[in-house]
Amino acid sequence: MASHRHRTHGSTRPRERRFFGSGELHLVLLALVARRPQHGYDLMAELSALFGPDYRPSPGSIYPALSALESEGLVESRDEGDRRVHFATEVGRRALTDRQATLAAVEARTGARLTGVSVEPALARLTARVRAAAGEVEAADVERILDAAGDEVERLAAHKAGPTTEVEPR
Amino acid sequence: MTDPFDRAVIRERLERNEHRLRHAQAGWTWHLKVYLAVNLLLAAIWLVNDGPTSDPWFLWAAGGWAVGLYFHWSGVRARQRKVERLEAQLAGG
Repeated sequence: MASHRHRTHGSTRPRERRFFGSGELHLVLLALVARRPQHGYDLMAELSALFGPDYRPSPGSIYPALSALESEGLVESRDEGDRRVHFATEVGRRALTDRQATLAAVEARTGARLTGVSVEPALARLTARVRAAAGEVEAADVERILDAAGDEVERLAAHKAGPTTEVEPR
Repeated sequence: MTDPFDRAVIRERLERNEHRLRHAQAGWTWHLKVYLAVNLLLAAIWLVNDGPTSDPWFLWAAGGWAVGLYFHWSGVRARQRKVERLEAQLAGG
């Protein structure tokens, strides 16, 4: 009897849930090329490293998404040797900033870090995580922890600004 | 629709569906050709063996198969409507 183990679709195999929601792959690609210019193969390798083994990128999904981003002016590309390097345009960076919350939700869900050192993604990520856990903990406890974190950051800022600045804890 | 990111997502979906539509249309055309060829052959066999005054038995096969052909066409039409919807979205409709 012939084996069907290698079939990727068909009635005998349950339908797999899609790893990325609508538009999320485009957003992730945009975030990666905004971080540094990359060619398609590099992007696939980075996606594998970030989301594998749950997600395996394929040229059939990556290149059409990149091409659509390029058609709308979010990404541009240039030839470097025998490779085509993609990078984010100003329009692309703006679109990325507008969608920090979605990107943070992807980060929170997958555990991958897609953005640089800006504090905005970390805040958006924190918001997503706190919201997700909000129903299971006391609101007062969450408030106390967040205030303590805020005080800590302000103390750090005061320390960097100079020894005379004092920060009153709330 | 003016947001370039949303447009990019729709554009990629449109191109993917256009590609699938082309395959589906080619598949249906092939199905139609096979349908016509086989049923013409059955009609010829009926004509030669049984004669034009006999019961046209080949119509049972042709009729049953026509139902399958119709469902195949419905699938292609549904894909076509999806492509039209995405085109309208991209055009700002």
